[in-house]
Amino acid sequence: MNKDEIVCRCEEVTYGEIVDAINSGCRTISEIRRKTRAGMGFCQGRSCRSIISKILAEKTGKKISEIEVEKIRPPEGAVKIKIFFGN
Amino acid sequence: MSKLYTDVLIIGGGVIGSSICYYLSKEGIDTVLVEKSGIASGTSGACDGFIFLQSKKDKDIIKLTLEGLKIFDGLSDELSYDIEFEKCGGLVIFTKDNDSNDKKNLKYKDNIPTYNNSGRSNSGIYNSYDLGKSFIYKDLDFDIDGENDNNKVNIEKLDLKELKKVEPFISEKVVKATYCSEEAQVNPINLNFGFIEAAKRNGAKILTYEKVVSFDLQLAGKESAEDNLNKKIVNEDTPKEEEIKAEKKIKKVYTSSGREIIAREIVCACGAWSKELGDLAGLKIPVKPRKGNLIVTEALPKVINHVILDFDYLCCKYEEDKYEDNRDKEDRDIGFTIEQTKNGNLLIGSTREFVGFNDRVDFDKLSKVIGRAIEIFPFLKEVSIIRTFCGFRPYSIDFLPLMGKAKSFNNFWLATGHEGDGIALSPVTGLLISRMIADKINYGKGLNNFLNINLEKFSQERI
Repeated sequence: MNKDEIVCRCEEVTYGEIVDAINSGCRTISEIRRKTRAGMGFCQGRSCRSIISKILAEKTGKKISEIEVEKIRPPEGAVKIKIFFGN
Repeated sequence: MSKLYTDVLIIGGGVIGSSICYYLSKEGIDTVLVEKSGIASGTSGACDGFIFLQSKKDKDIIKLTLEGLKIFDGLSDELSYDIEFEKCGGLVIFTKDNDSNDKKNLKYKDNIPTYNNSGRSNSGIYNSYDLGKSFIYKDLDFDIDGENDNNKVNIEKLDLKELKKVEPFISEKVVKATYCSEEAQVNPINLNFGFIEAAKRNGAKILTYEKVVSFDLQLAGKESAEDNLNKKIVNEDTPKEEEIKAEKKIKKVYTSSGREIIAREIVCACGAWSKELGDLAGLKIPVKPRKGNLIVTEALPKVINHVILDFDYLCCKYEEDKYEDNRDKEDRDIGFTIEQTKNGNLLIGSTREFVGFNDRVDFDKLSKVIGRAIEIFPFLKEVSIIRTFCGFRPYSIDFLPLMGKAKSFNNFWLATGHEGDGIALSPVTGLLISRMIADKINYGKGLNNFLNINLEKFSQERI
């Protein structure tokens, strides 16, 4: 991957930024999220989470199955307040 | 087993620990920070970014917050990290509901603070919490030290019309607000990483995903390792008097990755998790978790211009019932706060509950928070939520943090119990603790009389 390639489309975080975060010591997807904002946008990481897992596994020499699954923070998709909580 | 020698070991990688680490490393002191999970994985990564004055009750805490605000001003440059600090001003809002003039049964009617001509209350300070109890005041300053102009904070009272000008989307249910221009917001996660990255550049060593599992204790001054006090503390509920008086020393620290750390000074910056660490050393640290549930919305154009607290939230913070008949007892742990972050997301909170470390988001409570939010900002109905989360504030029973050396120990320091003030007080706590430690180990210049505050009031022994 090119270092300028976008990994998180919502927050426009690049491959290079993810790698930098890992090099600075980030070891979980949630720590990378806090450091770079990848996965903090509108889709909440539904598109980039698996790509980040792959990069993290590659750079730390782990299997993808060994990468910690992120804690779930509901709702599953963006939903209007009036629908989520009723009126 | 690998061994690590250092001058200072900090336990906890939240804003408080990171700030102490930064200020110590800046002084050229050899510093190691150990964190059981990732950076900002606890409270500092699950909170709002308010730097609020009107919510504080203690004079010295207000003083420290003001000192902190001065540091925050240049901190992005100092750390070379964008901490998204903005002096946006803060509002405490009052609706008809919580306006004391409208409810006969309000507890506060017999407890109206009196203000003299210069606009000062008997206790010498103002905050909106006291002010909310009665609306007999005029526009006012609160002057926390008497004569010093630098310590003057102006709080203005706004009626709905004035409020609408600065916060156009607010509903007519709000009758008035108090405004303080000194109040600000910051991105707590960036602040946390900013301190860590700067500390690393100064040579500090950061160990993450490594938990402290035990201590090797001895009586200070005694050389023999056989003086291991661990067993004595476990076996005897009431230690003998001479043992209480004798200073203990943490000789070695063992971590989950099998490391042995030998440090001259050890700092507990474990926030809500401090009690657990204190137990390992046989020190009672009276801090417990106070949970908050929050909501994050999609990013919007600028719709909220200030950091905003509902008056109810202050009642909730200080555990006071608004009414004599306890009608709001059930909902006392629910309040409403809102801010818009630099990215445009709205951060809506919050609750203050004692439910241990239960990390499930409580949707019943959040729906009440949202109910209140929609009352105050009706447009929110049409806004999408993208995530909910909860965090644990380090609650200390008298609402004051624990900062300073534990008296029964020769080398064990505490910087914890800030509850909801940790972000606001992090730079100043880091500076304070690092100066005290630097003073003790004879590096740099000490600062015994920090801002003329009697630091005894923050000692662990007071509780």
